[in-house]
Amino acid sequence: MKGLSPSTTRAGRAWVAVGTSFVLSGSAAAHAQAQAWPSRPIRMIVASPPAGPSDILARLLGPQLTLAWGQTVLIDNRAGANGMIAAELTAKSDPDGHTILLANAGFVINTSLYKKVPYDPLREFVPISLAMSVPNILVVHPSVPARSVAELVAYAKAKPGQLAVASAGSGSSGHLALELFQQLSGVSMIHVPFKGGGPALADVMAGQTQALFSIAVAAMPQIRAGRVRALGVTSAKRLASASEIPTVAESGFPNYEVNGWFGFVAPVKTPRSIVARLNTDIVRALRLPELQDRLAEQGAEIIGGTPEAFGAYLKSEQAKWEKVIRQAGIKVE
Amino acid sequence: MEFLGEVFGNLIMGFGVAVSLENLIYAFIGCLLGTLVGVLPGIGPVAAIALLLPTTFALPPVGALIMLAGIYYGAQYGGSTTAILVNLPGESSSVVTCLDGHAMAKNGRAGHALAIAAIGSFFAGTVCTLIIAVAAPPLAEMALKFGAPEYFSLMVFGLIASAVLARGSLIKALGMILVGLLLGIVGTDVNSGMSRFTFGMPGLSDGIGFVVIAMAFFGLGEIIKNLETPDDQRQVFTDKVSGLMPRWEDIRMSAGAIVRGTFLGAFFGTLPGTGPVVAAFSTYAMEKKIAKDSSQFGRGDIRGVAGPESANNAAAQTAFIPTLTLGIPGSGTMALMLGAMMIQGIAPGPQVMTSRPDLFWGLIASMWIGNLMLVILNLPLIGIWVQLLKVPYRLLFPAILMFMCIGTYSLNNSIQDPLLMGFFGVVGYAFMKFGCEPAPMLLGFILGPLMEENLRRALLISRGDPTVFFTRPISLTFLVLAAGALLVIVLPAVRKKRDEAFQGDE
Amino acid sequence: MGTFKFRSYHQDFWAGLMFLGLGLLAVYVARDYPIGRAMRMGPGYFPTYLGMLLTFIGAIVAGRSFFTEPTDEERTTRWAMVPLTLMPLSVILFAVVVDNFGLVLAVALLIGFASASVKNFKPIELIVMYGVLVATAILVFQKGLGVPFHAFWEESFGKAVSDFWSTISTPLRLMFGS
Repeated sequence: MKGLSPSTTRAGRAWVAVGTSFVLSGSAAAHAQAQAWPSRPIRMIVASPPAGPSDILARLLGPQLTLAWGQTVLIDNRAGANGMIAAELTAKSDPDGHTILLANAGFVINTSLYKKVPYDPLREFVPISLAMSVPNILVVHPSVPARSVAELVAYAKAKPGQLAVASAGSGSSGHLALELFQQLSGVSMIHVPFKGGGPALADVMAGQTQALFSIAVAAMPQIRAGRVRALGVTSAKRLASASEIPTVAESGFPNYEVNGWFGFVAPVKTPRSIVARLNTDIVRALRLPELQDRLAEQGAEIIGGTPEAFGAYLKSEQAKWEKVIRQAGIKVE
Repeated sequence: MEFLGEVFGNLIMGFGVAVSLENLIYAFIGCLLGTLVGVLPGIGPVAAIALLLPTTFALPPVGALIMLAGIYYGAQYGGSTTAILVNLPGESSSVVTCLDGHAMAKNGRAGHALAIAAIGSFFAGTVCTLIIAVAAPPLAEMALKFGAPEYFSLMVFGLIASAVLARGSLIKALGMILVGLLLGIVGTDVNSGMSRFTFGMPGLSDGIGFVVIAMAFFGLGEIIKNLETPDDQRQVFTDKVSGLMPRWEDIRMSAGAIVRGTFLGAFFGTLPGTGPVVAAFSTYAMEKKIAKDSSQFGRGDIRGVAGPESANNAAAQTAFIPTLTLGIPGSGTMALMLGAMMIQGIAPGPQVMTSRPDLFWGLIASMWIGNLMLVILNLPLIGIWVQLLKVPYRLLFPAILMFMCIGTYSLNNSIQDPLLMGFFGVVGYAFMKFGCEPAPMLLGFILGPLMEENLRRALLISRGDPTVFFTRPISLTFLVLAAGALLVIVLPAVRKKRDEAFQGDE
Repeated sequence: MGTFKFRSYHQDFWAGLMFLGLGLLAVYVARDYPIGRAMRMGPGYFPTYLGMLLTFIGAIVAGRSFFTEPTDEERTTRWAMVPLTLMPLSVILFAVVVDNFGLVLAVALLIGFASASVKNFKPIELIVMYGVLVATAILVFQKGLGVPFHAFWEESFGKAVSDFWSTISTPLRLMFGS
């Protein structure tokens, strides 16, 4: 575990102590409430400010779930520290099914990026369902002569260490997509981190930096307007909404897959019967056509699934990125 | 001519979309809510907009956009009102308004300050609506020309100009700018991803919020200072309140400042990130320098309110340009507005102008309607705000304190921000007691991180070649301006020193 | 130029001392951050050099106080120790209490401690003000604007106490070891 497990750090020890005291007081309460769930409003903790990426999904789902559960779904925005604040708060909440977290890709990647992570994504949470998958698109400024992923690799190889690739920040999904790309293709480029995806994309549109792995929803309008050129999508399959763009995987890197995602988890002691109920209703809400249309046009893919499938996905994502991050030597903090 | 005719036609179409009884009501409600929430001390425009956004989600798209515009302008103006009345800047661009606006309020001229702010804002709003209608795409292209070297040079210029804000000692202002720069470093370093000055607290990894620092240094520090005087002698605001509406003389005096502020604001507003702040205080610095008699600046000169407030509102308006034409939000507030539009199923961006002209021109029309509503709503409200100042201070300050606590809490829904505010309040008071002014510190705090980030990014992209700052024309221009500003600031100080030295010898 | 003399009544002496202290603190904390080179700066470059510059400015400002007599504006004045203690204390109490015990109690503590710095407050006035403010906090912020506050504790008072204890004991344990 090489010091990444929270229980080996000092903060972690204090944490486990807090955790245990909660297990003692929490489990009895959880039993009593298992019968009458939901008995009060459901708190959906979201790791972004209002109108941020996961907040949009939460606000589209909220009314549907309120209808299904007969209790208001309160959206609780706890942005900050790459989602760690929201996750820690959820882990500390009563495990009675009235608090759920809309987690994103950082949820399992943080453990490899940061020295001190105040939660354990696999041990302190129970998965409910994956909700949505958001691929990145590799885009370049139109002045870059490459028209395909292969041409970009050749171009970068001819100018080692000169191509400047923007990202939304150190440890962002675009940055990790770049690292994995460099590892698989063997080219080296300059990573230029920005504070957020918007400024990074603007910089590439202006040609100050040459390329970027951008989330699809932000990149699509710029691709259509011809301000940047799309070379490949990072998902395993092509996007339904832009099937003309090939995948990076089919362009010669078969193992290449990077997806941002959003999914629901709850504190680990949440009774399994309630988790099952949460899963059924969330998946049903995700399958509503109006929601599908709204999100699909932004390049997102809606996937509801079983808690088990989501759990396995979390585990594989954590292992995959731990390896990439270790090999690239990325450290935040 | 043909082009202008087209724009005119489009504007008429926009008003056709926006003007209906229903939409005017939305605009009014938006302005009213925005003003009322924005005016609460401790709730800055960003927080006010974030808190009010969900109220628009249930409306039809055009109605929602119009109400959003109303909330946006209302919250901005509400923020300026708080700055003038209780010396609390809710966002970076109203730091400057505090200086002379609050001084005017203390002199019994709160009504004049609020009215000139409203009039200046309306003028700026009208001009900038036209600017957006006529020149949005080319201005957006200009904004894109700003890469890392340009931003760095702009920040250098801004930091040097911020020394003008100091009334007292120049070297202490410099020290305070440095304190601000260091406070701005707290958090995750953008370039390396490393946490700096966080002392192991995960909550600090996103940095200290502007509102927290502003509330601590201006708000809490000011309250403690006001409580220094015993109750029976305390008189925070003078009893003599001179009329509400500005005198003809005030308007004549402010007219030039309003026009200059509007154009500076319109220019800087298009630049993502720092537009409104740089706009507001470069206007202030300019007004202070070109005024024949600048002795009243910082003590309640109406030009020190009129110029920056116009610039502020002009920038708030042109900040829509990159958001609307490129789909790229330039600030936190704009990101919120963009997200709200996306929830309505509208994705702003290069296509919106051509694919949904009704929405684009409707929004532009609603901007102007929002500005108009604001004046109509706020000129009568000024009387009420001024009455508030008559509430005895012993009742006023606990209320302000509570709003500050709730406001800072609501930033991240976390108790960390009020705790930090309590801590920095003590620091702020200490600085105040030692004659160090908070305004230059706040500007260092805002501009510093951007300066470092862009300097390092520019050198990263140029692979360590520092000539990029001089070979790129925009960057060079700002560096020359910075050198000029430095001369303007240092020369009089040196001359004064020399005069003093000579007098001392006698 | 005045004569060389230690002037503790000169604001500049203390201002300089604060700059000096903050500058040194910055340099000290930043000592582990990689500095890099001027053309390829590391995360330590800015904080270290800014800290040094602030230390230098602090030394000048403080040094100046030894040579010049302060003007009336530059003379130190008495600190208002009562409000200086009570204002931050009331803010801290509000923050620590509000999550577990709710607004009703948190605002009471806030208003109570803050108003204690005023001598001539009238109990009736205080109660009316408290009522108005608590109502505003609950109706406007909690209900109207959806800030996640509670009016009282969420489930039972006992649970609020135990939650409260675990919230404040974590930082305490971190500070003083477990």
